[in-house]
Amino acid sequence: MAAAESYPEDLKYHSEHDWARIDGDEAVLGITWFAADALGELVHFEPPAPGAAVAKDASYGEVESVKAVSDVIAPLSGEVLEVNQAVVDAPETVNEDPYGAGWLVRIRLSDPSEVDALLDLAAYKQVLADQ
Amino acid sequence: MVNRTGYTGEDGCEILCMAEDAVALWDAVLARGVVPCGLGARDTLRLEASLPLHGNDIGPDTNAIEAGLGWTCALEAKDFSGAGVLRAVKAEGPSRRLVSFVMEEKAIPRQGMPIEGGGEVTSGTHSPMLDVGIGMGYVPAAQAAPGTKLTIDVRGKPRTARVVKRPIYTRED
Repeated sequence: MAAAESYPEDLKYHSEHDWARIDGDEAVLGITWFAADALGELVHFEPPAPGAAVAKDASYGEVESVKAVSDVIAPLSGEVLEVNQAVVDAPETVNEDPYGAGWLVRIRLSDPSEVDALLDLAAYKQVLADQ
Repeated sequence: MVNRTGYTGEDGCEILCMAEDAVALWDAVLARGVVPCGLGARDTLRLEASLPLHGNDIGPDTNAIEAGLGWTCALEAKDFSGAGVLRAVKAEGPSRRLVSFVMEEKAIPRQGMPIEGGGEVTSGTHSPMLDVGIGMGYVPAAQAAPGTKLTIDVRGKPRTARVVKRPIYTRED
């Protein structure tokens, strides 16, 4: 079952509909409910390799539904520490729980100051309102 | 007109009617409890059934023999526009063939992706019934036998597929 629309208060957002949960010099990344809903049920996640470098505002993977494929944009730069294998195995997990079990990767931040440039919930909601 | 044909691989029928009757007929069918579906669902069904789509898998640049549609052409019985060319292709054997394939790795083939050896994907999607990527494409005749491994360029990444007999999927009752 696809999750109901929600955007947690405690996350940082990127205008390409990605979120980051910051924990010290690490962050967990995923895509927002809006992105998952726009794509429809995900059937494939093409993850980066563990250890790969991700760059803020650049693609680090792909998510694909039956109808469309989309790059996943990194909200922050860093190194991939872990890929969520549960999503590789069952991509629809992202639709069911985009901010919990449907996280995509965990990274070590190479420049924690980049966090300051991310959107808070109010700013991201403005991005959604402007769609 | 009611046709016992269909474009989904499922048992069913197609109803053709006058345009002014279409809305009332549609409403009447829905009123009987039919669940409507869209083009995306139709496309996965027809691909699972290995039914070629004009504009994707067949068109002005393909011929019926290489597309595996020779059975629709009365090459012996009739003379028609293009019959001579088709007879020649059939006699020589087509240089390429339209094949159905199933991905052996996690990846979804899409129209236009190159197939190593000179082929190209003409249709591709995720099969909801098989839960793998499936597709159709033209490959050199030497790569067309069922069981042949294909390497498809999925946005720069080589992914293995296997040629299968048509249809890709048949529902078991």
